[in-house]
Amino acid sequence: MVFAPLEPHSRAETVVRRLTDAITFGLLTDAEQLPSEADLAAQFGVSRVTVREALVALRQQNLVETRRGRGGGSFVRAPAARHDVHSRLAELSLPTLRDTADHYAAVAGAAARLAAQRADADDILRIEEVDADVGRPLHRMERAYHLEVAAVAQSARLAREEVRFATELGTVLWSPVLPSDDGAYDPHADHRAITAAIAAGDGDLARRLTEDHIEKAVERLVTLHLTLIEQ
Amino acid sequence: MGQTTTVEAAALATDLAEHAFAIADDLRAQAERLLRTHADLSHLRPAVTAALGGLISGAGVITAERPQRLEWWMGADPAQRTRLDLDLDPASDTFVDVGRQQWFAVPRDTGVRHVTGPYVDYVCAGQYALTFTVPISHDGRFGGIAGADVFVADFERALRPALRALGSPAALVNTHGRVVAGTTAHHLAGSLIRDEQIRAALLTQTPATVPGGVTLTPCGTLPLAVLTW
Repeated sequence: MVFAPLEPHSRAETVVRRLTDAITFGLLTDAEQLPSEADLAAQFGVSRVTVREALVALRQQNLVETRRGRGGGSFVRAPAARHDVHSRLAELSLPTLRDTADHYAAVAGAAARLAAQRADADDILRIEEVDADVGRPLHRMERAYHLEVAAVAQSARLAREEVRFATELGTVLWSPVLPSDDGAYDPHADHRAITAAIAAGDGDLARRLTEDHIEKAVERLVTLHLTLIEQ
Repeated sequence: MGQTTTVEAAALATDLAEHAFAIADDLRAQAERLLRTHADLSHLRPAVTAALGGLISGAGVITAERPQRLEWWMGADPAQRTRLDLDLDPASDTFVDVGRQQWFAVPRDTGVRHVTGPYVDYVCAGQYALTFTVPISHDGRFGGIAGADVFVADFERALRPALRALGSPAALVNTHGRVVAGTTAHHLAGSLIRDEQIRAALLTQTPATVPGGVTLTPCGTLPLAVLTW
């Protein structure tokens, strides 16, 4: 069940997945030292016990090595055959990423179009309220925004899909680690434009802006992949 | 046909909603007793699970104090019953800010019962639902909410024969003009009535005939009304 309550151990799984993604995608490089347990706990918004549990799992997968004593800590152990990983990304991950992102754009775009048909003034306020909460990490803010749009679309199915994509793709797609060549990249500005189109009842515009918004994020991610592959 | 049946359809919708509220109110009374004696909320479990079934897809209690306690169960089918376990950690990705949910905030802020929805209940069952909640009183203050969920699909199924019997296009809507159940493709669950005159009439919640021939029949004191075209 998508909405089954999160058990504490599934938070550890989420941390494991995110760090595994970061190592696989090359966002964390070989031998790089991870932040301390306390810092990781703070950054992921979980308890230290959860972080510890996640690190145990990552050690078992040989993705992390923990050294004790002076100069100790947890270090990334990227898969040895780096080039293999990169070529695998080039051959497999990009098309898969593209396909996943296309599916996501279809879901989020349709939600925006339906929201424009079905939103009343209170709904617009709810969407704006979610977007105004700027203190959150980007992926969490994106998850909350698009989930709220799907709720305003009155679609339980699209909302469930949003939750699924947020888990599957969101933390990578909206990773703050991703470099942006384009200084104009501003997710909040994108959201404001989408919300305005929804408020104006312009479903076609709301959908197009949402698709563009996701496409920009995918471009950032793909550019990073290609950079890594060329290294 | 005509006026009598519209009143009957509104009365049926009222009965269905009042049934959900009666369950919420029973849980409220039990929760208030437990809070007075500082007993564990898990004592509510038999009453909560007994309330599930038929129209009722979820029911329970959520307290106001922090950390919040909850005893809320979902699943009309006994074989698929699950206990709601919300992520109440503000730093978590899947954090649920209960205080911002309409079903919690409105009874807290107004002190009276509230119908939330139809809405996408993405924090609990992930379904399109109506949630009926009442405030719990503790030491003369707001102590939390007790409530019951009804899936819109089940509500529609229960109301459909009465709406169909009206003979003309009809819909049950909330005071915001959101359709709960309708008998035409134009007014299916979730769509919004945009006509300003109908929207204004809905807010007054009195029987009315809006210019254009739309009749409005309120469902008792509930924020629901039957519209016929």
